[in-house]
Amino acid sequence: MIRFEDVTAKRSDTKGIYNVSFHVKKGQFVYLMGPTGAGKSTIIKVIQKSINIESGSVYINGNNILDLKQNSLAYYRRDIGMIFQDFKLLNDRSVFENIAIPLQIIGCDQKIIENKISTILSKVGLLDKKYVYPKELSGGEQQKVCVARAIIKSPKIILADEPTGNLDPSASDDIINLLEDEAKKGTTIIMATHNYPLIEDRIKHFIEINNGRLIK
Amino acid sequence: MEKIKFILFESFISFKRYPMYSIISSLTVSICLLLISFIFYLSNVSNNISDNFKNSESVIDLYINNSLTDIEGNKICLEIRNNLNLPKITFITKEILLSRGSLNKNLKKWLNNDISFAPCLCSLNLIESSNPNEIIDSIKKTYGDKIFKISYPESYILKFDKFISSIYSFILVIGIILIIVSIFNVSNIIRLSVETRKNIIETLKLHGATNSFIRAPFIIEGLIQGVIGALISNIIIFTIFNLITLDNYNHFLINSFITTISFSIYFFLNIIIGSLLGFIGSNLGTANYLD
Repeated sequence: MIRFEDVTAKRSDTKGIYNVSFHVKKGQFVYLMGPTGAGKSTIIKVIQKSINIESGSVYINGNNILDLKQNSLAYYRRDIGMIFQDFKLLNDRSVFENIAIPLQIIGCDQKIIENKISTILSKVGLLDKKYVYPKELSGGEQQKVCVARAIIKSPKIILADEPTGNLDPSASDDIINLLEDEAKKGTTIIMATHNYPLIEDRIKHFIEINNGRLIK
Repeated sequence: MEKIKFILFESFISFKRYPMYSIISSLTVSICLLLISFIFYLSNVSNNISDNFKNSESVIDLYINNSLTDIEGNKICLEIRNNLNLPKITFITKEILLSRGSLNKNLKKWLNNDISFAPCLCSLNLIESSNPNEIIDSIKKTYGDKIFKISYPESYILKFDKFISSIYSFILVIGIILIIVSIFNVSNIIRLSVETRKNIIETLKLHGATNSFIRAPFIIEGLIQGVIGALISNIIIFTIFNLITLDNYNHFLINSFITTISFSIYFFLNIIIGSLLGFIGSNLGTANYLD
């Protein structure tokens, strides 16, 4: 599903990954572990093609993303759900409007959007907060909205960059439970974290990285 | 269809979400349009001055021989007008011609009221298509022995015409510079408004929105702001049209300030330039944040 072959990519002179190779199979939930500044976010940015790689190859579903042209990049990203540490919710839009964005981008019918959002909000336990604005929600609730926004379009891959970084343990557990449910449905998930105690009981597959180089 | 609905919704809702930016952008457009309209008005005034000056000063003066009486002179004058199809002539009798100027009171006394030595004057107003040299030649040919002197201030008119056309070119250059400055001005204002919404652009990009999908609401918003700005400037121009009215004075210079362009032309010009400013401005404003 996701294959890195000897990938080197730099975000700045000091941040980057060097000769990283790994393989993640379809439906796997892989934890990307390492201290702050290790290169976890760089791997995620390489997969979403926000930064260019200097050498090596990245294959997604067998296709080298280096071959992606500018006009097909948007369509490639539609198969990826993104979850961020700082949520990246739009504060001038309600929970409903935030979650609707990925579906509106692909031109989904309004009735389908409403049904899907109601279903997903029930799943994350925020149905009563449908028309509330993000600033009125707790950190855990905001991250649940972020997860809902990422999974609403049933992406093939979910990339979660420190999704529990700003949450308490209970809210963090809820988020990981939601992501594990998605993995069971066949979605490939890569979750970056530096909080090992949080995931040690759950961990099945992991990639450990430090100073931009793969350790395990 | 759903995408179009979304784009239109996003374009209009931004006026509610970011009212201050919308107001500032629209006002900037309207100020730019007022300046452009003023330049347009000035070019019209310079044209009017040129036309009115030619109409009032483009005159051939024929001094008719003093051997002919006023009646004979007038007859010749009418003949010339009919033969040359001129719109207006002015006949000035010997007495009136002599009475022009203050010294003539004493002169008349001294001459014992005998003014037969003086010529009478026939002034021919030329139309724009007239060729003064051809007219002068034709008059000389037909009435050579009856005309004492033909006077036409050609170099004076040409000089004035040159002066006005250089002013016109200057106004045109200022107008073009103003339009370019307006485009950058409006695009900077819209860029500021886009800057506050770059998180929206990032979010849309990360969820797979194409550049055109991201850009479209901003462009429609820019167009609407352009049209609103145009309407504001049109209201101001309409008020000026109705409040400040110049009476028709009998002087070409003052009359030249009365615009010969109707309000509807200003209206459509503002709407077109306003929309263009909004369109180009929003395009430049969003370009920085898109791949």
